[in-house]
Amino acid sequence: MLSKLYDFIIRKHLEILTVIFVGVSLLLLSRTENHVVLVLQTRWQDFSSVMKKPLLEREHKRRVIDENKQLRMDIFRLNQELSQAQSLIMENQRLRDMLGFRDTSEYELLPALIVYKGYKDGTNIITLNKGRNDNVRENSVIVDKDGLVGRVISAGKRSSLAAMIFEPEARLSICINPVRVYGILKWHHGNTFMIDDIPTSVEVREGWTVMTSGLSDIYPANIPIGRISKVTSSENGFTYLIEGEYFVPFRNLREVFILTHD
Amino acid sequence: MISNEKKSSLILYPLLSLLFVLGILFNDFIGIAGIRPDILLVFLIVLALQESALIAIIAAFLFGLLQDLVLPATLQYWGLSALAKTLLLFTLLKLLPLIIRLRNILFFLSLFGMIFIYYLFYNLLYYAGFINWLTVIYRYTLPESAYTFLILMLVHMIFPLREK
Repeated sequence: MLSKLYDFIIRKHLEILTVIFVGVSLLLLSRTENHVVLVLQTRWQDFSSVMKKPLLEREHKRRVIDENKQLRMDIFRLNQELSQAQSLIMENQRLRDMLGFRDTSEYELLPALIVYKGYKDGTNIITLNKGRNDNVRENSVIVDKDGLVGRVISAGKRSSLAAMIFEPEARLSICINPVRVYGILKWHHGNTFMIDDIPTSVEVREGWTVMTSGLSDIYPANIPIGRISKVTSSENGFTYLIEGEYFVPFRNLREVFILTHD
Repeated sequence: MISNEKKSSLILYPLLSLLFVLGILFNDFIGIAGIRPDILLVFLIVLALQESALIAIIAAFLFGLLQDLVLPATLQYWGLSALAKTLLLFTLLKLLPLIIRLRNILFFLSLFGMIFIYYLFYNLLYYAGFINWLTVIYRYTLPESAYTFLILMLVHMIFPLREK
């Protein structure tokens, strides 16, 4: 009996091994956001970021030169706008003082470079060149000049892994401006999102902006997310089906800011 | 005395290992419009053609896991490389008696076919729900298969792929 079993194993070792390996792979696939894997991946990124540094810096320099040209042109235009804005700021400050408002911002913007954008195109996981040494923590919020990008999911010493907000499972508590109505935002496809829990009793129009509500434990309020591009009524007629586009061009992102606590 | 075959292996495997490590470290820099070759896949195909089936299938699983670990994609796909590479190697090893009988272009076409099937399986699972299947084929599967096959051909030019 045992010799038959032994013969069988010897004869079919390839098939047996394949079944075991496929089983283990499927088991791993079924376990999402495995903590041990996250820690190992972060440590590896910590190590490999040192190796990639020279190449990254060279590429970064080239981009900075290109951007510099563009920025010089922008500065001229912005200077014109600045003079207008200064008068508005003074007026705003005067009004805030009258109302007793304070500047409640408790965050600092830490610039970070995306050193790795994932193995495959379109992935929502990125690696940043800032880590715990720079006061980056798990769930630190990531933004860029256009709006919300995502959050840090694991922070190493010198680098961190972050998840961008476009993924099927991501849900964001949002607020639609200017009506200040609250809802839940889901990724739809490409650079678009969907909101399907706003009652039709509230008026919502195309072109209105979507921002973070501040109701979540992770994201602070009033970070721009996107603009509404299409408003239709759902089948039941009680809620809207709102589609919109993210402000942030996730695929072209190179640099981001991490909101770090003071 | 070391035979010529062994001498060639002594150069080939360290070279492929080095390529694999460089491919992992500089994965972002070898991409063309978001299309990156899978050097591990080339390594495994060479292994399947030159070494025992047992070594090849174990390497496919273990290196697949390593690839998932050091090249983080979306987290829910941890294990996908290992799965796809194990299945590819199993299929390749089972079809190997037929494939090695094929001559010249048919032999290489069959290898390209294996790479294409691997990417099709991997990408259809990876992009499921994100991108429709037709886009997955022409935007990712075909270019990635071609890029990886090109690397395999470069390896073949230096170290001709041969039967076990």
